[in-house]
Amino acid sequence: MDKIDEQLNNFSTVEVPAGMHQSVMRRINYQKIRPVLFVSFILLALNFLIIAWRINAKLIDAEFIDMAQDFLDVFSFNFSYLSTMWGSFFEIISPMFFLSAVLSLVGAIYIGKEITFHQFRKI
Amino acid sequence: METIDKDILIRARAGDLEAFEYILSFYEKVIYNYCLRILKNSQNAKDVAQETFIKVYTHRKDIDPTKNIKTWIFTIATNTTYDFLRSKKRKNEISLDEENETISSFEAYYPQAGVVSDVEKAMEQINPEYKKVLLLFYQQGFQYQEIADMLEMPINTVKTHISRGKEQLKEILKEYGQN
Repeated sequence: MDKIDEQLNNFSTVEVPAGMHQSVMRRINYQKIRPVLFVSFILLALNFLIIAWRINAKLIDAEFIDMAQDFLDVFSFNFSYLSTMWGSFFEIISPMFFLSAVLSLVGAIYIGKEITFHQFRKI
Repeated sequence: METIDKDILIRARAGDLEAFEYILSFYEKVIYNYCLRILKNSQNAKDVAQETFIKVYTHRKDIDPTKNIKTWIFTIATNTTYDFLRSKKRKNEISLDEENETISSFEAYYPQAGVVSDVEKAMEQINPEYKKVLLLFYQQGFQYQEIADMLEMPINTVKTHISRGKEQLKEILKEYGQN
């Protein structure tokens, strides 16, 4: 083997710059959770629209202030009241709104789990 | 030559981040040094090395556990590095700082390595095409066929590049006063 071959085989190397490894893993984690963030954002946007629609169509049109006043007038804490409240729950809160809230909550828990397990586990 | 276990490659292909991180830890130093040799700028080398591993993850479905992943990663690194150089050249975006770093003493890139050999200095002056092939052949230990596949050139061209690269190195070393 030539002397030149020997020298070519023994090139000096440097260490990887600080933070490169972490930066790659961070970007990959982001790539991994991006679909989850997208779905959550859609759910959040849907939630916002439903709330806006609900406030507009039901609460303002039904004179919300009067409803609140009536509620305070007749308020008395007993089981029949609770039963009435439970029965009318889905009349006050639309099922779609409720479903959207549940889905948002599930999405938030899932994101939290993904971030905890993948983004901060190794880094 | 050390290689990565087949099982880890299968896991990485399935999107397992722990397996991917193992691959990253295994190759980040060689890839960074390879990029640094070509780009001669530490920040650019870091960016390109990062981009290489992002591409490895994005295209993880293409990992073939029966083949040597090193060849595949180096193919990505080579393409990313030359794409980067081409885009810089096209945009004419070499800043003053980069230019200063590029033309400064070669030892500046390798301060931890101590004295840099004359061959390493001479390597900076040879034809970039020959340099690329010499780096892959000597520094990374790839076979002629692997380099040919990686750079999409005939195997005879690889051999010619190695031989001509060495000739150029010898000429430059003569100027340095070495035999």
